[in-house]
Order: sequence, then structure tokens, then C-alpha cells
Amino acid sequence: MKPTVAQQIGMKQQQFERLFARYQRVVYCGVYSVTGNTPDAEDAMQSLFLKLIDQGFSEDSVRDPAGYLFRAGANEARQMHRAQERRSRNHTDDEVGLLRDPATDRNRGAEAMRERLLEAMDRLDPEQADILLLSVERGYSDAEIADLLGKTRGAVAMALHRAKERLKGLMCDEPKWGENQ
Amino acid sequence: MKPNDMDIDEILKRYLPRATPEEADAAGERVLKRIRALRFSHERSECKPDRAQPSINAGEEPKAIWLPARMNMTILAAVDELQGRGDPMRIILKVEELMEEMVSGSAVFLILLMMERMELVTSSPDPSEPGELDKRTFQITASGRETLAAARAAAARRAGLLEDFA
Repeated sequence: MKPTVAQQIGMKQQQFERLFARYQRVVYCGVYSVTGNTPDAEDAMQSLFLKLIDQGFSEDSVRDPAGYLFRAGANEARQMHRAQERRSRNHTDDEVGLLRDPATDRNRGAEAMRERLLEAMDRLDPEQADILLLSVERGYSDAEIADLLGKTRGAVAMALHRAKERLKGLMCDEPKWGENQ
Repeated sequence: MKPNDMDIDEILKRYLPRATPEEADAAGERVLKRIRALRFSHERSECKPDRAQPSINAGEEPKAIWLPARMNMTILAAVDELQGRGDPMRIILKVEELMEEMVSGSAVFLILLMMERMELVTSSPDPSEPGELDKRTFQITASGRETLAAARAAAARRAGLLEDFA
């Protein structure tokens, strides 16, 4: 049988296993920080690595493979999450009410706060969300993020500040379910 | 709550989902199995030793072949370090880590099988896939450990001689 294009340019198992062993933790941290649950995080991780295999990804092709793959993982999870949300966008009035009322959040505790944070993060501009995750989850400095994204340190510091301000606003706002459509 | 009352750094610190290394490793194991099944099941069957190396069928004496001593010693050391948890792929990665260079996976696999015939290592099947040769886990034997110790001592002696020579 004639090999597909992906099989021709894709990586061999040994190359893949080496890449996976080296970066599986960092990718998982990226996807999990977006999904907040194991099954979705595993699906996103699988989807990302399959794409890397098919594209014949080489860690030598990027300056900071760990940062690059963390960001790629977060983006993959975001895309999958949005696709799922589009398919099942029929929240009940009760669900909307629960998220609208901070007092209810307090009653529901940490889980509700986490959900509210994830919803708000999901409504950030993807680059703002990446900068925030790289800073908060990976502990990257502004200079390291600037290096990874090809921006100036000042631009990253400003974007980080704006991301936090926007996140504050989103977490206090009423949820706008149609915003990401 | 008003935006100005909110400590967003504290909220991110407390509520941003973070996976522990143990959770990441457990998820990684599951995803790895899925990806192997989806993308590499054909490669595994292609590199099965009974197809790739028909000259070492059971019952035949292995033919003498030249193998780099450093490679043999490193493979034994890798099997020893993995303490019975090393399947061929893990052993290959460990050998690469110890040698700090890429190695041929097929060569490592072949050497492992020869070492098993020489009773330097033993292998056990994966209970879930007993027929898969590349899923077997390898463990060093007492004889293998003696051989490894002798090889290390010889390497140390050689290094000493070279130092004296210099």
C-alpha cells in the first residue's frame, strides 16, 4: 500500500518516543491548565502529539521546545474545548444563574471558582492567555516569554498586565456564552 | 465582587488547574499506549526480530558478530538501571541517555536478544500482550551483573593505564 504524505514525512517511533519522553510532562501541564480535567487533557495531548508525528516535528526547529510545546498544548486544548462547546451550547438557565452569582460561587466553593476562572481564561485573547499561562504555570520571566514569542520584554509585561485586568473584568462580568462562537 | 477588590494573582495561584508530575506521568502512559496503537502498530510488527533477523531462531547458536564493547556494556547497564521495568523502547532511550548519542534501535533489540540467549538478561512478557516481543521487559541476571562489573573494572583499568601513559 502506498504510504500517505503524513507517513512519508512523519517521524519514526523511536523519534516520537524520545520526544514524548522528554516533553510529555510539559505538554500535559499546558493542556491541563486549560481543560482542568483529565479526560479532556489526555485527548488534547493525544491530538497534539499525533499532529507533531504527522508533521515530522523536530525539537531542533524551535529555540525553546519546552515553551513551544507547552503553548502548543494549551492551544490544542483551547481549540478542542471550543469545538466541544459549539457542539453543546445549550446551557440551562440554572447553570447560567449559578455562574452569574458570586455568592453562589462561594457556596459551591473552590470548584466553582476554578470553573469561573477557566471560563474567563477561555474568553481571553489566545496570545494573552498563553502569556498568562507561561508566566503563572511555567514561571517564565517576561524576558523568556518575549524570547519565545518574538516580542519585546516591555510588550510582554504590558500584555501580561492587560491580561490580568481583562481576566478580573471577565470574572466579575456576567458570562456571555455567545462570545466565542 | 468588583474588579478592584479582586486579587487576580492570588486567584490564579489558588485556582488555576495544575497537574502534578505523577498525574502527568500517569496520563502520559495512557496517551502513549493510544498513540502507539494508532500510529506505530505496523512499525512494531516490522521490527519483530523473527522477521528482521531470521538467523537467530530458537535452537540455533547465535553467530559470532562484531559488536562495539561500549555498546554492550551500556545496554547491560541500561537494563540494570531500569530494574526490570525496561521494555525495548525504554532500554533504547536509556542507552541513548547513557551514551549521549543516538543509537540504532534495531541493533539494541538484537543485542538484547543475544544477551538473553547468553543468559546475561532474562525477559518477561507483558501480561496484556504476551505475544508482543517488543513489549517484553528485561532484567539483568546474576551472570549479567558479574559481566557488567568485570567490564567496568576492565574499562577502569584501561583508563588508569592511559593516565599512567600520559
